[in-house]
Amino acid sequence: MNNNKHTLLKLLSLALVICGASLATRAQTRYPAQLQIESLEPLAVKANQIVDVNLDERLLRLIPVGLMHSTDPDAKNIKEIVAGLKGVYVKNFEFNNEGEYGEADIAAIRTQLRAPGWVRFVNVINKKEHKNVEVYLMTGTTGARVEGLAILAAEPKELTVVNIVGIIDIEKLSKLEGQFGIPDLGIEPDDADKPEAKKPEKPATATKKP
Amino acid sequence: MRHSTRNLLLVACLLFVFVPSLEAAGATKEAAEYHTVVKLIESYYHVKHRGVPMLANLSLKTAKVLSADVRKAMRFGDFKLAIFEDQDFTTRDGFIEFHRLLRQTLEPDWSTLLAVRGRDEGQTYTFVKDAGERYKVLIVVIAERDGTVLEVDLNREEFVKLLKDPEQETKNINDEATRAANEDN
Repeated sequence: MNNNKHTLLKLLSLALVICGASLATRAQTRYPAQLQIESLEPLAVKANQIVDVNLDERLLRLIPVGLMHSTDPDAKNIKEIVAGLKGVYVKNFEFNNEGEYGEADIAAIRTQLRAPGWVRFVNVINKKEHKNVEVYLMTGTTGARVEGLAILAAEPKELTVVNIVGIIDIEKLSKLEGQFGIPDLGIEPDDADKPEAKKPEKPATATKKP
Repeated sequence: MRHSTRNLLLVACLLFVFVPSLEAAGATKEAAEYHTVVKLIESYYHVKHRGVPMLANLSLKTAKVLSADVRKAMRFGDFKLAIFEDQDFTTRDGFIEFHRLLRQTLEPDWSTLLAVRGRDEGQTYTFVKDAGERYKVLIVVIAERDGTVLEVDLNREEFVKLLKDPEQETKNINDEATRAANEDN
């Protein structure tokens, strides 16, 4: 009798392990470069409009392989951009008036960007338009490759956070603008800003654009 | 002992067979999701249909039935469309809560591609999921006086277009379907 109970318990444990494993494989992986962009959600109550674009790994994988092998230059571009990406997340807030959000509202994102691995790559300040665009990169442990990117674009009546997760060729950053819901932020890193291959990126100094 | 090992292996095999089939059973639930979303809008905003033909078998008073000719002429083969015309969607200023309820209504395999929540411009939500050869897209648009719930199947090329420019393509798809529905009536 005891033996039967023991066997039954074993069977139940096995069933739980298998079901658990099955569910776990379906769960979304959270990568170190993936920001908790939803931490900005409390700002939604102040905003006039909020736009969220989420292309997680599962969605990026849906982009047909057949199309990626196409010789069409546009499809080739997609292939180049998508290869290595694990996610693209965009959150944009528009406000009716200036000063409706402040540093405190974006503190949660800044805290995440102070985590190990993140470095500020470039800071573009446009004093005339009161626009400040900060680009952060997450590098791997060796610092040899970029494994994530975050853009924080702050304007008096608008705030945009872009988080690109995965291996990124920084030279293709401008190609991503206007694609996959990423707004055109006017970021074109010049040669001085480009990190050299196989070298860890240095923390950026502020770059000013007219 | 040998007997229990055999039992364990048998159960393991059965579970490997059953776990995917349980998911398949969930697929039948998915068919009802579109209608659940329509009902959610009706109950949340207290809106009703007006002067729109019924889909009697589904008790959906808001849905227009499109002719086969119209559907064939469009880039997406088949679709479901519910139109809310001349309704008041301003009764509740709760787009944050509505977004949450909408997400709860849908199964987790629907990914939220786009969510536009505006106090003046209205709300637009685009959910997508893989459906084998094609891709299922569910678009919910709520403006001040009108709303639509649209489910379409897109082919690969059209789906990539949507991923490349979610906001604009969502608008294009929804406009195309709504225009076809209006022309068909």
